[in-house]
This record gives sequence, C-alpha cells and structure tokens, in this order.
Amino acid sequence: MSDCQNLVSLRTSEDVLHKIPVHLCLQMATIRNSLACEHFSDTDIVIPLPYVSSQILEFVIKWCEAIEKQDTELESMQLSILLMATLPELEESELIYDLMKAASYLEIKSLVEATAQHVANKINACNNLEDVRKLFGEENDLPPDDEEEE
Amino acid sequence: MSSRKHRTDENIENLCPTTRKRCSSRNSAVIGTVGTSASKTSRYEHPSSPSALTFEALEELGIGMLDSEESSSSALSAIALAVSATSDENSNELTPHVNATRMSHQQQRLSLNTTADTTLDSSVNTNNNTVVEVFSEDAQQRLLRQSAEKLHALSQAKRVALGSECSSNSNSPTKRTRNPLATVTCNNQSEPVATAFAPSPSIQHQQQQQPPLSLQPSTSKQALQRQQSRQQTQKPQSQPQTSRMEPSDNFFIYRTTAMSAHLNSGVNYFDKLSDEIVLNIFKWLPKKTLLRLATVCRRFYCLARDETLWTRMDLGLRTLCPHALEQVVRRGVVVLRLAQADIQEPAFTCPPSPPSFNTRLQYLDLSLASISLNSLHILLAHCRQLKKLSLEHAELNDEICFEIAQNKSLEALNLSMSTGLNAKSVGMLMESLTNLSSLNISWTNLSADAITALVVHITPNVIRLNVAGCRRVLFDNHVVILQKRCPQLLELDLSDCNSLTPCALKAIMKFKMLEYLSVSRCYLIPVNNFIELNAMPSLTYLDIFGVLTESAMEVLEKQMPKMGINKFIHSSVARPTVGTRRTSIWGLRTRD
Repeated sequence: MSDCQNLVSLRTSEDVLHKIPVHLCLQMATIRNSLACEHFSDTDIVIPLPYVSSQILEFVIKWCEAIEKQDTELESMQLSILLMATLPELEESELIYDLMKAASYLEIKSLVEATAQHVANKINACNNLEDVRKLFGEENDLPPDDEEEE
Repeated sequence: MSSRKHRTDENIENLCPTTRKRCSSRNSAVIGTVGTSASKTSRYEHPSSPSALTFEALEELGIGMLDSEESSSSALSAIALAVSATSDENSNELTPHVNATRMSHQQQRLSLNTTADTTLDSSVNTNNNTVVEVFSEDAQQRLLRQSAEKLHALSQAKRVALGSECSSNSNSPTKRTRNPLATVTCNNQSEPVATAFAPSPSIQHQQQQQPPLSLQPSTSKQALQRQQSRQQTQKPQSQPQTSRMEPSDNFFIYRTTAMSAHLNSGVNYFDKLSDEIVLNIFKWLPKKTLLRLATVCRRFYCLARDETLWTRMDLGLRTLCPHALEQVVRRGVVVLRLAQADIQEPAFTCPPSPPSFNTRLQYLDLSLASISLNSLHILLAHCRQLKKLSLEHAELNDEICFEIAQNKSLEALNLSMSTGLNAKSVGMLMESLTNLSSLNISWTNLSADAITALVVHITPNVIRLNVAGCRRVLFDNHVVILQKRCPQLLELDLSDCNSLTPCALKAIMKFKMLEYLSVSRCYLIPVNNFIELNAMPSLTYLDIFGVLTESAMEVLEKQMPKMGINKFIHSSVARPTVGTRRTSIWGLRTRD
C-alpha cells in the first residue's frame, strides 16, 4: 500500500480480513485504543474483531464514512436519520441489533446513539404492548400484575 | 382487543399493525393500484383531529412517527408505503395450501401472529383466501430469493426515489434523506408481491398492480424487474392523488415482510443485546413509554426500572395519586420537581422512622406543593443526601425540621413563606446545617427568639441570606451578630425588616464582600444614610424599594453612580426557579 494511506486490517468473526483506512477506524474507540498501544508501523496491523461479522463491519464502515462527511456534531435524531439514509437495508432486518452490539463493542459513540434512537423511535411508535412484544420478540413472562400508574 | 369493526374509528391504535394493515388492505384490495391512493383516503378519514389523523392513519399502514419535518416529501413516501403496505399484507396473508413445507411455515407464522395478536380472527383470515399463491418452489427458496432480490431492488429504489424526490418539492436536506428510506421499503415490500404472487381469479384486485404477472412462477428476476419498472412509472402517477391527503407529519417505515418473518420465527433479538445497550435505547424514550415497557416482559420490567433512567423527574403541577410519591422516590430519582404538585394521601406506606430505605434525592423542589405534614415528614425522613431543598410556602413542624437537619450536605434551603418554624427548630437547623451556603427564610413569621437563634447559630459558610419580612423582630443587634458570624456574606436581603435603624447600616458596612443588599421598606433608615454605602467597595446592587421618592431616587443615583439601584424586585436566594424558566431547578434539568 502507499504510505499516504495507512490501512488497518480488521479480522472479523468469519476470519475475513478487511482493510480499512485508518482515519475511519479512529472513530472506533476500541480500535483507537489498540492502535495507540501498538507500535504503529507501515506494515498493516491486524486487529481481531471476534464479535463483529463481515456484513456488520461493512455497515460500520459505511457509517464511519458518512460521519466523516459531516462537519458538525449531530444530535441523536439527526444521527438516526443519517443512519437510515446511509444504511437503508437495515430497516427491515434484524441486523440493527447486531449493529448495535458492534457499535457498542467498537465504541462508536455516534453509531450507538443513532441505533439506539432508531430503536427507541420504533418502540415509541408501538401503540400497545403487543406491538412492542412483537417488535422485539419478547414474551410476556410477568405474573399478572397491575400496571403501574404515575 | 378492539374489534375490527371499529377499525375506522379512533381505536385503530389498539390493533396490531399487521391486523390494521390487513384491514386496510381489504379496502384497498378491492380498489386496486392507482386506487391504493384512493383507498388511503378512506383509511385516513377518521373522525379525529388532524394530528391524530396523521398518526393513526399512518399507524394503519404501520408507519410510526419519527420527525415532524416531512410534509411534501412524504407524499412520495406515502405512496411508497401504501404500495408496500398492500404488498406486505398480501405476503402476510399467504394462504398455505400448496405445499406442505410452506404450509407449515406459513401456519407457524400465522399462528404466532395469532397468539401474539389477539385481534386476529377468522374474518381477517378470510382475506387470506382471496390471495392465492400457486407456487412451484418451496417457501425457503422463495424467501431466500426475496431477500436477495430485495437488496437488488434497494439500489434501484433509492435511485428512483432520489430522482423523483429531487424533482419534487422537497426543500430541506432531511426530506431528501427521508425518501430513500420510504421508497426502499416500498420496493422491499414489492418483492414479495412480485415473487409471491401467482395470478388467479382471486387476485384480480392485485392484477392492476401486476398485470403482466403470468402463470409462470413470478419469482423470476424478469418479473421482478418488470415489477420495479412498473412501480417506477406508477409512482409519479399516484403521486398527485396521494399528495392531497397526505397526513404527513412524522413517520418512519415500519417493518416489512422480512422483518415480520424473523419475528414470527420466535427469535428474540433483544436477547442479543446486552442490558447496557438496551438501556441506551430506553434512555431515549419518554417516561410514560418506559412505564408501559415495564409490563412487556420480566427483563423489560427490570430494565425499565433501572435507576439511570429515572434520575430526573418533573412532576410540577401534577396530582400524585396515593402512594405515587413513594413509587417515584423509590425509583432513585435524584432531581425531582414537585412544584405546585398535589400529593394525595397517603403518600407513603412506610413509617417515618426508622427509614426503611434512603432516597437518592439530592435536589427537591416542593415549592407551593400541597402535601400533608405527615407525608412531608415521611418524605424528608428518607432523604439524607439532599443538597438543595425548596419548601416555599410549606407547612412545617419540629419533626420535619429535624429531618431536614439530618441532611448534612444541604447547601441551599428555601423556607420562604413557610409556617411552623419556631426558635427551637430554627436553632436546630442552623446548628446542624453546616454546609449551608444559601438560606432563604423570609416571611416565615419568626419570633425575635427565632431570629436570635438564627443569627447565633448560622453557619459561617452562608453567603446568601434572605431574612426579609421579619417585621418588628429583627433588630440592629441581630445584624451585628450576623456580621460577626458570617463576615463573608455576599448577598443579604433585609427588606421589610422595619425595625432596622442606621446602626444596622453601620454593621452592614463591615461586610467586606457584600455585593447585594436589600433594605427595601426599612423606613427607619433615613435616605442620606444610604450614601454611606458608597464606601463599601464590593457593594454593587442596592435595593431600596418603597423608601424614596422619585426625586430622592435621582439624587441618590447621582451620588452613587456605580451602584445598581433597585434592579431586582424578587429575591432569588435559594430559589429553584427564577423568572420564567420552569424546566430546571437550581440550574439542573428536570427532564431528560
């Protein structure tokens, strides 16, 4: 690789190596910390990401790129809109949860906020408990309780 | 659950979205594609308010609320959604009668749907019968292909959406970013339509949407692409119709088939997320939603009650039912605003002592709250970490003061206009509250003994003190003692202490750091004495309302050019809310 663009190799859970430009990786606090610890050389550094799959990593990279293009700090609602704009295929899949886990593991604050806000919006949209249960596949295992009132 | 007969009424929201979609699809199904827009009109015609119309109508299509910026752009999205909804329903209503594997899969889906959603009944299923699929491949293959084709369609959809969007009237960038989302869903949804549908007489209503769909397995990519191109042409067509009834406010895309598929497969995706992540999600939700979430399942019950979500609460002007206050306080609230709240009896079930639990309250605003002595006593008995407390206009007694006094870290105490203070309680308070820095004890009908106790025991840490309204009980020697006790006082309000004479002023002059002084309506002090205050280098503001005539005021102002005279009508010592701000107390947000 040319010297001007340092790439970092990330090994995902399927043992696939992804080469990512460093500036994108710096958004991820976990990787940032490991890069700080390691001796930074021109040779590629391989960082294992056992909890992140390749598909999710691609999403994450897309997100990082989108964030790079933003000049200003976005607040959460804007972030979630950006999330949907960058990764529309998330909308219909359960990958949003995997993405949340990855974001939390990689400590990408903006992505954590965006995904959380997005899921929160979904919950907000549910008008009754059944919706929420269906949305997330939860089962009602509570004993027959009165609902709390405040 | 609400019956579907009422589906056109406001209670739509009680129906689960899939049911709603089915119902609405039945309406739309008869009309056909371009008519989906028309059917949307019928669906949207609820006897409800415009905003409810928006929300409910969109809810019918399973579209939630996101952000209130979208109006014109949502026309496009709405069309997309309408198309998607129709197709989505149809895919949901797959009647399993062709082959066994698919049948079992479908039945599983349907049954899961049924059990989860009690509104589902046979009349909905009859709609299924109108949708007949003749499949030549089994369900799994179909689904696989669907997902593959979805992804393929996505890019196309986005392009189309962006193209049409740019040409339409969208202004803000957010609108533009919204549309790809909408159309994506649309095209996603259309996949199942294209792939899942074989024509049969019962699908006439769908025919308009997919006329070229022949008897061959429509899962072919060709048919798919035909489908897409059809939709692209159809979109601008239906746009004018849908734009007229766009209830638009906020919406976002609800789940599509694929999502429903995995839901009904029984996998719990929340299990994948750690509690920390779930809490991250929950923190964006309003408290009411949190309460409802607590009833979803055990895990949510624990998570929704997590104290990090309940650190701040604003219950101002609310009426709290019996025991509600106890619930609130047990949640670990740290910043609590109960200004003007009406707290009904009995607020607590536990006795005041010994306190069975300690609240985490640190900032408590009970100004003008209607609370009984007993409840207040119990509440304060459980507070040991209070930093700022406002009991303006409250009824107090010795026991309550005792409990207040136990909060050793109390910094600001507002007892303005409260009743029930006597010398003993005041003395006790002053002795134990050694960290106090702001004290407002104005207009409390203190006796002279109480004032004495106050100034004798008050902690030297006090820098702001308001003892206004001590008519005929606060004398010069009190001021002298006060000055000796608290030489570092920054703010002193002695308004309406009309027993003060110029001797008091002499004592006041000894405050080396005093910045604000109020001696309004202290009629015994002649005007020219105030000019002496010029000698105090630190004094910046002087309030002497009610003492001077206008001309005298002018004279004084000339004599004291650097002094801000009569700038503050209301004291803000230890007050939680000053001015018009109502959502924060002592500068702390009450709503997160």
